[in-house]
Amino acid sequence: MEKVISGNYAAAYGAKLARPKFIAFYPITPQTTIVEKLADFSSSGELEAKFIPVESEHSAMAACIGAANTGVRTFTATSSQGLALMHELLFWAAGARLPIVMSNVHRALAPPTNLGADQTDSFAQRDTGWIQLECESAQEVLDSILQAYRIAEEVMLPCMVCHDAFYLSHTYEPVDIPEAELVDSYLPPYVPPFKLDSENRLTFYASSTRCPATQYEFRYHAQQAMERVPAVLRKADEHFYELFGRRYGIVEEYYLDGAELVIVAAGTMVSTVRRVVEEFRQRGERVGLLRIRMFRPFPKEEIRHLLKGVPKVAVFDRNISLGEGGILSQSIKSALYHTDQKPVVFGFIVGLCGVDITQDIVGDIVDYTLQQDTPEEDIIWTEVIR
Amino acid sequence: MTSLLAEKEKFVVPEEEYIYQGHTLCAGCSAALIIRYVLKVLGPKTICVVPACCFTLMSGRSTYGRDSQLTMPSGLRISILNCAFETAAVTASGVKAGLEAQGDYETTVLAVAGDGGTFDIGLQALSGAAERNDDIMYLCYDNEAYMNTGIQRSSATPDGCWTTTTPLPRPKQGAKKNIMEIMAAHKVPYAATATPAFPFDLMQKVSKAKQKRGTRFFHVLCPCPTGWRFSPEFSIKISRMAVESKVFPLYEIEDGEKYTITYSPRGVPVRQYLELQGRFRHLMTEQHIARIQENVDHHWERLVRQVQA
Amino acid sequence: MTHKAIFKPLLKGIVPIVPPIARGDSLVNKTGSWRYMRPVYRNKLPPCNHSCPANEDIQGYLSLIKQERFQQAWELIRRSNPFPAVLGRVCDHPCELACNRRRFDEAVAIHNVERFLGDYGLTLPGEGKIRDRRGEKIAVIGSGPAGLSCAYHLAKMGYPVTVFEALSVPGGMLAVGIPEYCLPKEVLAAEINAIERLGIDIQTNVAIGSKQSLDDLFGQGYKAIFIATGAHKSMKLGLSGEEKDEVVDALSFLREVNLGNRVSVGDKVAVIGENNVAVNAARVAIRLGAKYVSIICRQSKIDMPNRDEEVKVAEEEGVHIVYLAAPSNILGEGRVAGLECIRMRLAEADKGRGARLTPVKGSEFVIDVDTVITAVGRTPDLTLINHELKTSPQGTLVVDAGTLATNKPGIFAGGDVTGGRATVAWAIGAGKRASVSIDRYIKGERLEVFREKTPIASFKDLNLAYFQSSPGAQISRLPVADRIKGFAEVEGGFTESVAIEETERCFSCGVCNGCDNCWLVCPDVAISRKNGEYQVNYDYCKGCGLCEEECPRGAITMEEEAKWRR
Repeated sequence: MEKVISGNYAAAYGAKLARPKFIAFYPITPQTTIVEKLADFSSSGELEAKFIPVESEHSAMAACIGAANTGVRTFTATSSQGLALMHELLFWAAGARLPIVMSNVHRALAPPTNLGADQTDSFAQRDTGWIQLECESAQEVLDSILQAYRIAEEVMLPCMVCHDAFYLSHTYEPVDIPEAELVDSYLPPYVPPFKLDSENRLTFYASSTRCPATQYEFRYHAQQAMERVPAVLRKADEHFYELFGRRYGIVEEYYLDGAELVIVAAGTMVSTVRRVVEEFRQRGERVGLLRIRMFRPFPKEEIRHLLKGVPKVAVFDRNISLGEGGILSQSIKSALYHTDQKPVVFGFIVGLCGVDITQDIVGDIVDYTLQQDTPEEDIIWTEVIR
Repeated sequence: MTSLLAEKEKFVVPEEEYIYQGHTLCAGCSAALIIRYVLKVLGPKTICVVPACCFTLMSGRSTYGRDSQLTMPSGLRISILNCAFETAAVTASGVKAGLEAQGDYETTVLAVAGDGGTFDIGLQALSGAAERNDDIMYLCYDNEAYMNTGIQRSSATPDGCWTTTTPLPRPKQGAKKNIMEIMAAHKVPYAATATPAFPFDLMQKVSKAKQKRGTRFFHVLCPCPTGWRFSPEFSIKISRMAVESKVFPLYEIEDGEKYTITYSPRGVPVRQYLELQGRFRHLMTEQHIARIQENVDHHWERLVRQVQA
Repeated sequence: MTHKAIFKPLLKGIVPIVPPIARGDSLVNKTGSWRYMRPVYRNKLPPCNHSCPANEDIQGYLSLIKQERFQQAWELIRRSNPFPAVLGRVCDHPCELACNRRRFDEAVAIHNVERFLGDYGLTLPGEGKIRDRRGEKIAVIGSGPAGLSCAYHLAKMGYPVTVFEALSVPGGMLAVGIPEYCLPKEVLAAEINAIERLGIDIQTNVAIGSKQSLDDLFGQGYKAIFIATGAHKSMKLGLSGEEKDEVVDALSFLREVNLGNRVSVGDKVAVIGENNVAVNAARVAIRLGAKYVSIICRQSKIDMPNRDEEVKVAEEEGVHIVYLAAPSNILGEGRVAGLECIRMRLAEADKGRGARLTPVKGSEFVIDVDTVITAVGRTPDLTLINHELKTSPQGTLVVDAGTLATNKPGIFAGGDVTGGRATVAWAIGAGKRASVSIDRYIKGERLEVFREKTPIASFKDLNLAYFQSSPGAQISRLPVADRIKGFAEVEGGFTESVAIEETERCFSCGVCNGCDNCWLVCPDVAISRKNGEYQVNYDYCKGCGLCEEECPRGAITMEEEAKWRR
């Protein structure tokens, strides 16, 4: 059934279709409409989950951890400051190997208060052990949440599905809402490999101070689980394609054939970049696009393979790690370090804090990159039109 | 004065033990006693949620056994879930919801947190759970400072008390937070104080709370030999003196309104309570003691008025 | 030096999920190694038991009565005392003076519980004749509490015992010194009968020394002799007029009354003395019809430790006590026409009991009396006994304090004849001690018995937090009018329920009574209970000492671990 809905509603539909048994919610703009929609589903009886209004995002994640430990599918949503507040518990969720799925709406972190799109919030959580997916469209938001459960529950790591504030959260698009039965066949009820109950006596997370090697071991296994994610994602994506006719991959290639310049981007700006790439191609300029869908674990293999021999790469970061630069460009550079035929990587900081990324800006960046042999600066800032 | 041994006749102590020997809480630790009594009443269908606090020692320490098997030598015969410091109440809420979502309405989810995890860092989560009236039991064992980290003041540290962060000559200034009033203001169905010196009172209260649904709160005084500077054999005596001196009255509050004093203290001078503990040793001037006595009397009278109201 | 780092491989195939979750229990931690003091269950001696001259296990029978195990309680008390019904009535109960509860609220009314137990015992069939297991005959001279107690214990050991009694009735002072309103004849008779039924031969009207000497007894085959002839000779006032007919000594007076002989007193009686004999004589005089009875007491109080109440009771009955006065002259030509007394003054320096007294010059006054009863002390009458036995300047037999052996082998002595505390309980205790010595003497063993010193449970050993204040049970007394009509027993005993209630007040000082408190307060679950006994699991006991501190009765001791001992 096709509906014209916002990205946030798409997230809510995705969550509802996944049939979680537990949802903790706490409002924050621009995420709020996700939990509002879920509240509607809950009060109309369409959603059977325990629906707990917590007193902070921190508690939202803590509640999810508590519930997930009992072996139920859980969901929550947040954004920006809320995600930052959760930071400590993101480690708990991943360290505890709980397949919690969370929707994060990219929003800039204060100060000053700003509601605009900015990837820094979730990219800053890259070391917490969460799988992170970046969405381009409302449809992808819905579909990714369903895929996220498949992946998370197979490798037993939590997964964050991110989309941009307003460009997606509050923008209405036609979205195909899959049939519940079909979703059920894609995503059967969760069978936890371990659970907390009063029947089986177990101890969860006893201190490892005396024997730190135990925790070293847990970290090793968590990383092993991360290593498995690309293959698991691919399989989940293929199965999704079989049932629903849509697939997204780990990364998306667009006009990469013979490209002299490849733009690497993630999130809603990808749609803008597509238009510009098409224009350049029509003009005969060999420009391509590589969209990063899976940010964590970082798809190093795919990047090495796809960017091998490409002369120039322009990375678009709607985020910044102050003191270092764009987070995506760092990752790209580090992925390419051991390859031969390394491309020249240009790191652009674009559209921070909800600043628009227009076709003009993208075009200017492409022109600039095509003209330059090497970047003048490690971090290249773009002129912002006020 | 009701004699403890006489009270024994009224309450049959369940035989079953739910704590194991060999747990690594300090010698004479009141927290171990408290949980022993509480679990005797709650029984095996209980899950313990524990934030950072001394009680994490109860879950043992992860180790690899000789067979490379991971073990966590827990001191409890029930499951323990360790959680982040400030999340005891809400983690318990999450666990309870998860169990209910699977049809288990019977298991008691018991959060066991120290005073730091309750009065300070965990207060927000506790307030949230209490306001939602989540069906959990929350036990704060109050040793009146951050003891697991080594005796730092908390908002439960009493007036005039020495800690490592309120060193002499400037001991802690100001009274401790009245957590029971905070819980009463949330109108939780049941809130009660208890001490290990009155195990029958404690067990009767737990038994009563077990019959109720919603957020049930226990504020249990937990004298700490290490942090309060006394020899471990006096753990219970000090609990008892806290009650008898009205420093820590035993009472319960139902639905935030109905106050009942469950034990009439003898009203021994507060000096007799203070002088048992090294953390108050510097206080022994008449002026100091008179001030503390005045506060104790004031709070007691207030409590009595609340009972009468 | 070689380096060898083990690289963990990238996992292929089925990757295990390893969450930080595990099983296991803390039993692997032997926390007993933390301990430097260990709790041990070590009973202390309850102060009541310690103070009992009859060596009764008072705490023991109180505890049994509390559990309503009366038969066992009775058997326990009989192990030291064959006269519980008697002693429950006549004892000056030093146990109650020693009782730790006295410092808390009121002592446990042990003597009344003992009386209850004794009376209960009288309803039992009693012990049957003991078949003699030994051949050695033992002679006991005197059938008072010391003599019969000794005979009883010897009989229980299997010795054939003969008791020689000079008077026509057995019982000694119990029979002729203590008035019936205090100790009814049938109670005494019942307990003596129960002793006799063991097979003891009591020969009355046989005064050893008059027809047969001690040596004769040995000649008749007796292997050992226990002399318990008491102290039946009254001391003299030393005043002129003492020889008058109306001046009698209290012992003779009480003896005649007790033997049922006609005794008459005048209307106005003065009893001279300050002990229980004086008080008894005064109360008997009232019962015999005297209208005015005074006790002339030198001291400022009557010397009856722990029986102060009896002075009040006597006063209720009409006895008037003149304190701080001493007789100076018995007046009257022929018959007694009055008693002149002089006021005594306590020397300023040391007021109190036994303080130095001085007569106040010129303070003489006269009391109008027609009868004078003297009760100024008594002493053994040893005229008939073999003079080779060593005696003290006070005229008592000299014995070894522990073994009760006299200077002649095979002859032992105890009770009032050896002086000392002159109480019934003490005499009963002496009888038992003598029986032990005699047994050892017969067997050729060393007489001295080594007894391990058990520390006494003091008041500070108790944890008073566990006890509730409750006043002791009261007994009933006959109304005064009914009392003075005759010799009916004045005091009522405890009913069963009152007795049980009273035993519940016992702190059980120093003796574990299975209250479970140690088990309850152990934070390490290191104390287990089995068949009413407790065991510490030293594998896990951290030695915190809570069990010791919280033991209500001080029955646990913390001992230093050997490894910490220097």
